[in-house]
Amino acid sequence: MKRKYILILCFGFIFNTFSNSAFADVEQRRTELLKVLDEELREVTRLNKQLGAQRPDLMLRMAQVLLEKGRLLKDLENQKYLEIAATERAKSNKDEAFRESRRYFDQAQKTVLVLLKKFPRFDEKADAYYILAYNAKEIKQDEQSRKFFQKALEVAKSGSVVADKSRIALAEIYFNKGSFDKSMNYYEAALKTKRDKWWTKDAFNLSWSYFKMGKYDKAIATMLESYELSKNPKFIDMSKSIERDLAFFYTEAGRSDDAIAFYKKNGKSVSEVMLKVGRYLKTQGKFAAAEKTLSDGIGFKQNEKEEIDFNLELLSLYEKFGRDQKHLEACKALAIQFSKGALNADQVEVLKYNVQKMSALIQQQLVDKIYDHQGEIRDQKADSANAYFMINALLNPAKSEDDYFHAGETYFAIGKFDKAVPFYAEAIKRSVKNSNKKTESLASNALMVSLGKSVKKTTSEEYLIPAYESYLSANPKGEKSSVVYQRLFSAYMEKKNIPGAEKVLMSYKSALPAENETQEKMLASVMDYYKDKGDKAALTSWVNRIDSNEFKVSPGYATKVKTLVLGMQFEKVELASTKGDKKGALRGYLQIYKSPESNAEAKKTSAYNIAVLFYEIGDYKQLYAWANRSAAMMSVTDLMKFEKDYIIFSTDLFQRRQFTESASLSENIFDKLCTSDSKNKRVFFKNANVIYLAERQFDKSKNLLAKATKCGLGSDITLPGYLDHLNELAAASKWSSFNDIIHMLEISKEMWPQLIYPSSLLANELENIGRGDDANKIRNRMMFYYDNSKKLKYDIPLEGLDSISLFRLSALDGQLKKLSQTKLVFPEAEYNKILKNKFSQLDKLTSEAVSIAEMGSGIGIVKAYRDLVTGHESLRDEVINFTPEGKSPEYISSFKKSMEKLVEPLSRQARDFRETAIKKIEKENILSTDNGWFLIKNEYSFIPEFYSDSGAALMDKAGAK
Amino acid sequence: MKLYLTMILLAFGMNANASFQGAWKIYQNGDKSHYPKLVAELIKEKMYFSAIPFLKEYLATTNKVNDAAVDKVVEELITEVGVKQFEVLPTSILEKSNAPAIRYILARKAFRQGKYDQALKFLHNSIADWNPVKPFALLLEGSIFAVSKREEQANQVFKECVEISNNHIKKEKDKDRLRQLKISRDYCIVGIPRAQFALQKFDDAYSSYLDLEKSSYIWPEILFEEAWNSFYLKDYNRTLGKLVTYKAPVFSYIFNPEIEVLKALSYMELCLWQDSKNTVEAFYTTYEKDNISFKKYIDSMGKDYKQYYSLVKEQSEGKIKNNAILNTALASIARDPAYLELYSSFNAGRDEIERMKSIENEKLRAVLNDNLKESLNMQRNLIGSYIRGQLQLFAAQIVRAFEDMSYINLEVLSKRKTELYENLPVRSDDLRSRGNLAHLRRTDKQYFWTFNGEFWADELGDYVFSLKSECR
Repeated sequence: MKRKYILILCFGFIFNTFSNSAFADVEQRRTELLKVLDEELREVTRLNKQLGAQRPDLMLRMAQVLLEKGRLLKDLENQKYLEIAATERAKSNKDEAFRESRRYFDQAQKTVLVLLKKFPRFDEKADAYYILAYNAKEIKQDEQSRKFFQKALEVAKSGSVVADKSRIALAEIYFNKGSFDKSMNYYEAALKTKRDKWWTKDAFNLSWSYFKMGKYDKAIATMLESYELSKNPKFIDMSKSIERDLAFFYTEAGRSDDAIAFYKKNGKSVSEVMLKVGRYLKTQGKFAAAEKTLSDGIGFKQNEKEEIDFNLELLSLYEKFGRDQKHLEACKALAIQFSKGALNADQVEVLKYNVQKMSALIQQQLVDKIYDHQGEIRDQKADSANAYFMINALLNPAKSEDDYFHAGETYFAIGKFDKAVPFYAEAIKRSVKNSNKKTESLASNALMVSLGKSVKKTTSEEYLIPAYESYLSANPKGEKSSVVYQRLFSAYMEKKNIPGAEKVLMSYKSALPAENETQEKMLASVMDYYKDKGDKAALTSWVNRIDSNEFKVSPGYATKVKTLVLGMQFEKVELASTKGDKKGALRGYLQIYKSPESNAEAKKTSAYNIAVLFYEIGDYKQLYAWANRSAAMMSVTDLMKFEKDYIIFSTDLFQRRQFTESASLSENIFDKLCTSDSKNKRVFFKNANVIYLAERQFDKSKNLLAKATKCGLGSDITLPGYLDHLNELAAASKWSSFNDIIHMLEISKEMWPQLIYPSSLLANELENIGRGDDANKIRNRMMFYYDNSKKLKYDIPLEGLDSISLFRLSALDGQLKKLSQTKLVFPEAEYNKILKNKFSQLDKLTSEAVSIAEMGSGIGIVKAYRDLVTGHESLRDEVINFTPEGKSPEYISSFKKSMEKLVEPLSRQARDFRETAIKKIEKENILSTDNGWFLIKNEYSFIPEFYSDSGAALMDKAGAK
Repeated sequence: MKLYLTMILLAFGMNANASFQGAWKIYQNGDKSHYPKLVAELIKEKMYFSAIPFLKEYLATTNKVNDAAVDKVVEELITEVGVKQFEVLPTSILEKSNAPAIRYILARKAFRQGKYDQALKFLHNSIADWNPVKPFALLLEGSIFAVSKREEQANQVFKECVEISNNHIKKEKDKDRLRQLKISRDYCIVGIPRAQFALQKFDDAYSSYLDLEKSSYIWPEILFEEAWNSFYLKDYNRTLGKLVTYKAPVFSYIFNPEIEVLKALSYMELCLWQDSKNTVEAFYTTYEKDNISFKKYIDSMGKDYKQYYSLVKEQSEGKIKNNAILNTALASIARDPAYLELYSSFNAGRDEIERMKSIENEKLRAVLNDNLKESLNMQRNLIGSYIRGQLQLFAAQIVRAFEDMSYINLEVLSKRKTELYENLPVRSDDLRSRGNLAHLRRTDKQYFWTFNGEFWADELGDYVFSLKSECR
């Protein structure tokens, strides 16, 4: 006897429930089952007794039976409990109602606990834990139940039934919790063998677990296997559920072709299934999945009826997920079906609801300017809203004017007035037809406003004027009418229908006589038109009407009208000018200038234009006169606008060698711009100063310089101006104010390097006139400038360096002279003393010369080296050529030999200095009068010098300066 | 040839001293190495049981038996008194002898210990075909092969066993030994289907079982095996048919609670829940109460083997106990071949008491008397022990049967539940038709007999039910 086998078989039944509680004889079966369970309990008890109550498997079986009976009783109790009237049930004691079943659950629990305690090594402990788990489940201790199932699984033998059943139970728990990763693993392990009829049902859940984990292919494969097995009567038939869900799986997996193949193979309509799936998913709240399924499913529609069904189901989903475009397309498709009369009343209502809701929603979004920063989206939205309104108009023809009006309003809200206008117009038409005064009025107003915006010309042409005229005929007065008059006037003006515009002007004047300002604007527009046209007669006619006070205009405008007439004169002159008739133009401008009717503005303009014309024809005298005149008439602001022209004028005068006029014009303009922030102010100043100095007009230059600081020019402009002044004074040998200017300039340290050279000029001049002391003072000052400039690390101009070098070289010349002045004499002791002294002097001279050379002045470098070479060579020659007197020839010979040796270093040093000087000349491109001393070797032993006439330029062979 | 001559001479020599007097002389001499001669003398006087202690003493004291004459004595004695008297000796003593009967005893002991290879070693080429123990040794050898699932060898040995047994049967005159030989042969016949059954060759086994004659002494018990074989062939109607044979009055002595278990099980397999349950309930009703007193009774006897011996003896003499189980059990034991072998030996031993009276030498008589008393006590205890073992076995079988019955009932209940849970139509036992020939399956060795509630000897075992399975 296979006890274990039997036990397992029994075990399997415990947790099955009535697979179909709806069957008629459920009561009979329950009674029968209870009877069987009682028998079973009796048998187990009998057997247990027979075997001396030492068998854990029997205790387990007993617990199973007790649990099973508890469950059956609970079903019965539950049924009875639900049969009690709700009010009575609320008062009843629930525990009491389920007392009997609870008793059995407790007994089962106790039995298992005793079993586990008594037989801790019982090899079927897993079954015991399984019972505890189910017991806990029955009394709603879900977590406890899960733990027991887990425990059962842990202690169960591998591959045992209870292991798989525990896995299934755990899988279901996790499945219901939505922990699909866990449910998947448990189901996978449990369903490796097709152990019982529930395999198909559990596989169905496994498939869903796969699906939820994104393992679509596995999900589908498992479903298919469950589907195939469902055909076998030994398994629970899950085919209906599978057919329902598989469509969705295929859809999600992007395997629509497989779905079609599956349903075709199984004789099902794909579209029908997907429609069902979609509806089911909606009821399950799986809207995204429903949408996907239905969207795909519609592709398989078999007829228009199905298409309608799909679209109606999809509407709410599209709305939910904001698929506006698809929603609209669905509505459009349904609208087509509506036109064919294919929608029933309910379906029409659904469509109406959706259309109205969406149109209102979008319109509100547009009115709220939600998409104002996303122009393209906003426009699409508006078009969508419009489409919805048009569908609604189709669905509700008796109120279609409202839809057209709303369509217009939608476009209006986003500023698409061109689009709004035709809808308003249509709304008006339909309102009239449907006698809807309210909408007619609203649409009419809206149309006016829309047309008042910047609509396209074609739109205006088509709708504007008739609309305005119609409005005004109905509403000749009033605030709004005022606006409409103006718009109608503008419309006529745009169409260049001047008589029409004039007519509106007159109507306006008549309807709203107090609106002078608006009338004036209208007048201005009309007169501008005539002005543009050059219709002087018409213009004059209007001027006369103004003059006759037919229209009340502001004084300013009256002036403008006069100016307008004047302007017409200018226009003629300008025309002559552009045609090259400069004389004619000049004549015209002179007339305006001289005309007593011409105002200052006209005169000023004329004067300037005359200056320009004279400039163009090259009459510099007139140019100078009119330039000054026009500049004098201009305000500073005006002048700043034309200052570049005045630079051209002054330049032109300069180029025509009218230096004084040029400088004078520049100074005049400078004076006028003195307090302005003109950038060209310094140009006028510089030009004037340079020309004054060139013309040796030192006083004017001095005056100009005196004004510079007052006119806001900085030292960066003024000081160079003074320096130029100083240099020009020296050049012109005007020394009287020279020192004063130097003193004035030396206040500024930055000027010290610049002052060295002019100071040297002054010192030379003083020396020339015999004022040696004054010259020395100046030179001392010059050295002061030099020394401090060096300290302050200012750049010293080359001529400044030259000046200092020359000054120091003159002292060096003195030392050189002194060196040769003392002659060598004998006796020997005297000779030696003198010679020593000479060497000492030569050292001193060398130090000074090197110091001068290092200053950086090219003149200084070459001259210093010349003095060095001269000093060394002259001493050498003197020593060699010296012959002591009264000495024997032998002595003399010996003396000379020793002396030759002694001066050898002098020769070498002199040669080195010479070579260094030549190198420096060449390398540093020094141009000095002393260069020839080093470079020229000719048979005549003299150095040629070249002189040119004053003002001539020295050129190289290539002809460049 | 040489060996043959020696044996002839030895026999001649022994015959020359074959007398109680000669025996006395040997005994008086006190040399135990000569005890085989003493035993040979006593054998001549058919004083087998009286001789047993001398031979045992010899075997205990000698180092090794290397004498064919001694082996012959051993063979002769064991043939007369049965193996049980010597089985109780330790293996170490028995191993001193190479006598085929001793080798057979050693093999039996090894077999019981599950040392099949060792048992085969004891038997291998050691027993000649003419040896009286040969048929039994072959049965043992075939059984070893069968148990070891060496079917081919088992078949070969069992077939040899049948052949050798038949040869011995032809020559045998003693009716007890003739019965033993026939029983042994028949066990060899069913050894073949048993081996096939063990290897789950149920179809082969089915045919092989039919080779056993219904007249065989063991046929009634083998019928039960056939019933199991049919069960495994899923031929439940035939199983039930075979089991119903046991209802025949001629088999009233058969004690086998498992018959009812197999019946209940067969009904269950046919999904005849109510029949199955009825069988279970009937079994409980029949045995539950009696089993308690039966168990108490045998427990109360402890190991008093004499009482056990008396129980069977009294039962065979017509004394009926107030316990159906005990009565059936004792009746069954009384027809048990093993019991009969022990008992017939014991009776033969008692004949020696009469022969003892003819011994003039009082001293010798006293010695032999003690010997006989010791041997017969031993034989009675062996019988008592065997009976006790059988009764304990029966008690265990009943308990086991109760257990099985309960499990069957639970299984039936489970299946019933399945039907209820799976919404299968509720059964109405009244509506079912009972028995239909179309539900039978037959082999060429079977022929069908309708069963009308009466038992005919030649029909026994061939009854077949024709119940329709109600499984769904």
